Amino acid sequence: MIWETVIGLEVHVQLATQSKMFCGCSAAFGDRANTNVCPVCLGLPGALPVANLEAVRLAARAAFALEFTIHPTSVFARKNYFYPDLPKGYQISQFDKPLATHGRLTIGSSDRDDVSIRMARLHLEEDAGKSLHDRFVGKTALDFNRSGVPLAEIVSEPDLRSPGEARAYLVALKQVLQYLEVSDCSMEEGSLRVDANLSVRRAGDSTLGVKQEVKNMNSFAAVERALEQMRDSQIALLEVDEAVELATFSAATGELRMMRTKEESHDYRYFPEPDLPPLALAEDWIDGERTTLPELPRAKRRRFQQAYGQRPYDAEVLTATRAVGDYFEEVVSTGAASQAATKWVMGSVLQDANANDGALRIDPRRLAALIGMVARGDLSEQAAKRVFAELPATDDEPEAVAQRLGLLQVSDRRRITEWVNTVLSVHPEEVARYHEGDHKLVGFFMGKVMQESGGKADPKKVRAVLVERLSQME
Amino acid sequence: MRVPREEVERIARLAALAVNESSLAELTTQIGEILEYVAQLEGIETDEPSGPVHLGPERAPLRPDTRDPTPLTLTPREMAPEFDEDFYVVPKVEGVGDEE
Amino acid sequence: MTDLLRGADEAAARIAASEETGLNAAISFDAEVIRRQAQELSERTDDLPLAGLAVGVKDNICTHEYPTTCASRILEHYRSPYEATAVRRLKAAGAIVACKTNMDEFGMGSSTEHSAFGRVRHPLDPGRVAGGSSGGSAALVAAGAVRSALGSETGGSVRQPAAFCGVVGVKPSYGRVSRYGLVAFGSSLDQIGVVGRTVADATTVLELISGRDPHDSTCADRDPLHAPLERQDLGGLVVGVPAEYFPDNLSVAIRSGCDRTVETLRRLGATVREVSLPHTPLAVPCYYVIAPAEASANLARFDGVRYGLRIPQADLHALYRETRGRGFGEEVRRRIIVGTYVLSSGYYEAYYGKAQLARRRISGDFDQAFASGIDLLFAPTTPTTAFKAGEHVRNPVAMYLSDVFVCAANLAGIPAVSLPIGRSSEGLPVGAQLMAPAFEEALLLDTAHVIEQHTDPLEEIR
Repeated sequence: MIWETVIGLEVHVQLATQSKMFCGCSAAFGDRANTNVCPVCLGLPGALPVANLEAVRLAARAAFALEFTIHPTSVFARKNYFYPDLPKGYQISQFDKPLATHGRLTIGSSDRDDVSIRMARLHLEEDAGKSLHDRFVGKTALDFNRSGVPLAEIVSEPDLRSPGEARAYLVALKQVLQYLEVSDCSMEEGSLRVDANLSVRRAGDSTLGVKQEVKNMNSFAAVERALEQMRDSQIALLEVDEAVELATFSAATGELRMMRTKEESHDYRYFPEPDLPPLALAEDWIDGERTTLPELPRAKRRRFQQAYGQRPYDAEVLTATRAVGDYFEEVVSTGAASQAATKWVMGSVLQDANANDGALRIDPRRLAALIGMVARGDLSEQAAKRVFAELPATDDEPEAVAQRLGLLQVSDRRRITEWVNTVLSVHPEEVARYHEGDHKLVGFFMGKVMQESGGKADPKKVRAVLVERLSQME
Repeated sequence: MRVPREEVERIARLAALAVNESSLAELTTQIGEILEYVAQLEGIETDEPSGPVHLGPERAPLRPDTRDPTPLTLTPREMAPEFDEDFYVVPKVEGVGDEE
Repeated sequence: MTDLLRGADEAAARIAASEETGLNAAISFDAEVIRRQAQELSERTDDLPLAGLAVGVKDNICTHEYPTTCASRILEHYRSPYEATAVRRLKAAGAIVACKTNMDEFGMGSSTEHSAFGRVRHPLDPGRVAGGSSGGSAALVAAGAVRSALGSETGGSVRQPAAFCGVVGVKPSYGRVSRYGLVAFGSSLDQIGVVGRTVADATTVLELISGRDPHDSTCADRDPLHAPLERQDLGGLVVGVPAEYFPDNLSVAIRSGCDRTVETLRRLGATVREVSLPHTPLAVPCYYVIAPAEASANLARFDGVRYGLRIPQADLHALYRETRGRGFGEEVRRRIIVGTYVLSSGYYEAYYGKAQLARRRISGDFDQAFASGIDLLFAPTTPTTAFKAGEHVRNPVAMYLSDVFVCAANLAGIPAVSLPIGRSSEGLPVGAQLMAPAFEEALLLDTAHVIEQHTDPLEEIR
């Protein structure tokens, strides 16, 4: 039997604001517990929400970038349930009139090439506080610093067909959101959270199988792994004609564990939030946000390939983050040839960044100068790498560094000719063998000349002079 | 309108309200009477768009993204029924660690 | 001793005296707290328009001075760590929060019998109710203990007790006064209102507490109310009298009182016209869906986790259920259950959806009336005078029907004022109300003031 896997993802991202969704408390992560709290986010009697413009703006930008239809009027709604970290007994969310519907995101799938994944909705909501179940024995500890932090919930349609596609979707989504600076998308800090659902059906069936959900994954790899486990166990059941049961799993421990769900817990009794008038966005405001979106990863990749002649892989690496793409283009715009710039940024620059928390430590102008020196023959590739390694520790120009290290190449024809003559005069036998046809000996002479020059001679020039001199001697 | 007793119990659970056995019968009757009374609304024809009636401002005011919380004159610790170290404390949630 | 301190002591003595009669209008009251505020005022150098005026504040409005209990066990010892905007503004103007007034728990009731701290007695007949839910505020003003008090309305909770007690009760337009710090009952209906000995007393307070507030998204972006009471007569005014507010079973005293006031209106130059508000019968059922629905969510925060009562239990869900089951009184539990029911899956459209439609119709009735050249509406405030304690306690629907004339204004968000127009043969106050288009408080109060000048509220209606 051929089985088809159907996956949908619900992603919550924390919007990168200074203050919370509905109050002026700091939205910072990692502060002392229960210090960023006020009447509103503690749900004190009489407190009222006032929405944060920046949260709306960031969510709208995410919606544009993901090709959603933005609704000029959307409505906040109360989602009612009891949980100790939910201070009001309801979460302010959006329900039947969300900020945006019908988005799409193109991902690269290993099985299906580029696939366009549809997204059902993007809406705004507030986060709950944090429950810590292992802080005290037999107790749950509550921290409300996170309570009220703005979230965008982005719900995909069940268009993903493998755990690998699910991961590719998450990578692409995260990349877009980071390009927009909408969220820092840190799964470790909980600023990006994924709930996944998966069902399996016979290939060709039009109805969906029984859906199981999984929550609490702490990395994209964990999402992929959890989905693989769910898929495999569902297929195993179906293969022997057993039924898959509705279930929700937690992957918090790395293994799938069934979560208790109460039958009533799904009756959220949504109704329009009477404390907030509709969220009405002016057309010109919407247009303003739409037209100031940055170039998005896909467009940038395409452009890099066309404008700089990059291979798809190179373009992907150089557009992985907006910062790297901008850096590369800065290097090119300050004078470096694009091919050399591609090689340098993908090599030394990213190596250095990886070793330094992603920091791009060498300013693009100095890198362009260094690349220029290699192009002019003032510096060998090898020497340039040594200069590059010195640059973070100094403000000096690459030229000065090369000078100080004695790495500047000599391309002066007269001096190179002297070195060549010296070498040829002390190796008459090799010269003779060369003239008898052993042209591989050029390498031998090259090495000797470089040695003679103390490594400073420009190898290209050396080769040219050598070949010329040898032919003259014939 | 008669409302089954089990339905009242189910709703009470949903509302996290303990209802003691002795008052359940009277409560069930009263809820039934109230629901019957408000059921007059069923007669309204739905020939017009429903959706909430919004009084007050037509659009939600949006505040600038600045940090200016209303200060509390009592600390969380001073208000809380149970507080330990920096945390509010409740009995352990069942199905531990499962829920975020 | 300064005038402020002397005035404060006198105010405290008046409240103490009226409470000693068994009124039970105050939940929290402390002469020392009053004196301390007077002391602080005397040290201030800024302008104090209220100059130490002692004001009662309904106990569902957050204050620093006393606990804010909402007349509920669940908040019995709760002290608010912040102050309501309305209270902050009153204090800034030089008012003293004299006491927190008794009420139906969380505002749910029409008799102030549903208070965890005992019922409020009617100032003229202790066997009767003061009305509710702002019964404490109305009784305190009626007893002469304070000139004005803050109340709150969700479905007539200021006007109805004001009518029962023979004082003035103002319900402003939805959005006129910030709700920040008013403990929510039905958020789309709630509004802080004012009980005053006279229209002028109530107006002074309303002017000071009104106006835009960045902490309340539903508060209108408007300057504070300016309502000069300057009319001498009602020439040029068209007053509509809605037929639906005069049903056959209306108490005779109230019908006659209203007739007499209509005559006064005419005499003062107003044109009086009968109008129809055909959806009036839907108001009470509509209200008793929307208000409990919103309340069921608004009261979910009282869970024993962060503040207020906790009944300790080993299991979290048992803790919720016991805390809420025992912390809330009977009527509150009933309304939470009704509200949860009407929002729960499968019932939403039949109840909440229909109630929204009804609300539109009710609102539309007022729009049409006001668009037809009517400036104000005049109607009785209540179908009966103050009823006897215990009369409706076991019969919730009968109790709800005492709101029949008041709750439409809340559903439509329009301002209204109830004022005393005479006494029944039993000596009980009779009230009547004026309703105006949204944000027409200035006209509403000016008109009420003219009527007040030409009405003897103590005169028996024959």
